Amino acid sequence: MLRYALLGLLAHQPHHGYELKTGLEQALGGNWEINFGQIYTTLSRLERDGLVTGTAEAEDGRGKRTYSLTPSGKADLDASLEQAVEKPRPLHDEFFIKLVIRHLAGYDDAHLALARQRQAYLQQLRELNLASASQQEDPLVSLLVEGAILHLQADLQWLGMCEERLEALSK
Amino acid sequence: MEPIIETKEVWKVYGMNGASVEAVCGIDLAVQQGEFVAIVGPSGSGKSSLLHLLGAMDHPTRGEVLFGNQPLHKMSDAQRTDLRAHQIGFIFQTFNLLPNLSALENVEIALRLGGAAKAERQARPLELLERVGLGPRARHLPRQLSGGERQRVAIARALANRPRLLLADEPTGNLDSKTGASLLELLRQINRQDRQTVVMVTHDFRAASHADRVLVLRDGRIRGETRLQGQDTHRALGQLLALEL
Ligand SMILES: Nc1ncnc2c1ncn2[C@@H]1O[C@H](COP(=O)(O)OP(=O)(O)OP(=O)(O)O)[C@@H](O)[C@H]1O
Ligand SMILES: [Mg+2]
Repeated sequence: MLRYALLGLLAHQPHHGYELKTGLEQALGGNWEINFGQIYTTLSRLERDGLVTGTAEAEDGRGKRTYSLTPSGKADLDASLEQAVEKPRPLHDEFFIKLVIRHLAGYDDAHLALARQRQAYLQQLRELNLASASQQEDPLVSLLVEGAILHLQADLQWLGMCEERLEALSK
Repeated sequence: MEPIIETKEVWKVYGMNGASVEAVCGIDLAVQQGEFVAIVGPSGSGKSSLLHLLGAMDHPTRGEVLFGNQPLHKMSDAQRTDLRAHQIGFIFQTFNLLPNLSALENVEIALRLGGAAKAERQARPLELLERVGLGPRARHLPRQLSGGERQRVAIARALANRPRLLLADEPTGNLDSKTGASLLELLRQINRQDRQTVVMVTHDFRAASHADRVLVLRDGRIRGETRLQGQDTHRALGQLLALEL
């Protein structure tokens, strides 16, 4: 995704690396520091593939490089944005697999695992609630937070269902 | 420390023409002064039944409820009525305001029923409405207020007699999630600033996660308990965004 985020920023206007880093961090509500090295590796790959071009400040190829989007970079960006996301969110991936492993191992204490998982989800929900209150000014980040809250609520309901059904099975 | 309210192996069994429903099945719980406790469970899990027992609004079938170390079943009806009027504040899902009285009068009548002195009856209602952010709306009738505003009036009314215990039954059940969130924020503030003890029941995990301690109720039994802490929004956001890139 970093690749497309960079293309997206360059669709606006050419930037040098540092501007790309701060621009991206700002778009994420200033909550996340992006690794500089990662940005440069991605940029050089994009340049190699002809999706962006870099021009150096000095004639000898030194100094800050300014990157701009090439026509095929623009085409690549648009193609990516036009595609619907086909893959569903992984459903409780890790926790579900742990439940299955428990079953394979013949452990019959799933209720303890469920209780622990509920504690973890509730704690996350609390933190996201606070984040939701503090991120109201940033519409994009607050959308992400609200989405995560809705998913957590569903996860918690699903844990209740697991508890009920596994209990019924063991009776 | 002695709990404000405590139950010991408390049961509530309703008899319904021959059949009986076990709504509350041997619950032990203790709530300390200044705590904000949420009890979360699906519909029919016994939340309201339990809250009615805590609020001396109903008698347990077995077991006992102690309010400030006093067993409720040893009190006379008059003493229990007195307890409800002075020491316990209630908030309901449907607000339960008197429709023909203004916000101010709804709060004042609670003070009157609680036997407050005249000076208090004159000054306190507006103070309370200001506290819940409704000062400018004091003269409005319930029907002239939004759901969220009505629930704020209900909170002001519940706090009128400085109760030791505030009980809330699904207080955000009739509100949209944004209005609900600001109401929970208000409850949390009152809990923090005044060390007001709050027990809230809800089916909504999001609402419950505002509390310090969450008890999970299912089929009339407590199935789990979590203490929530930390105000670390940074970590939660970081995790979210890390996933996205
Ligand atoms: N007065 C009553 N007479 C008979 N049965 C009752 C009575 N009150 C509640 N019940 C039963 O007791 C059980 C628990 O009900 P309760 O109202 O406490 O659940 P709840 O968790 O508050 O549900 P909800 O989220 O729908 O409000 C239910 O099966 C209900 O039908
Ligand atoms: Mg109920």
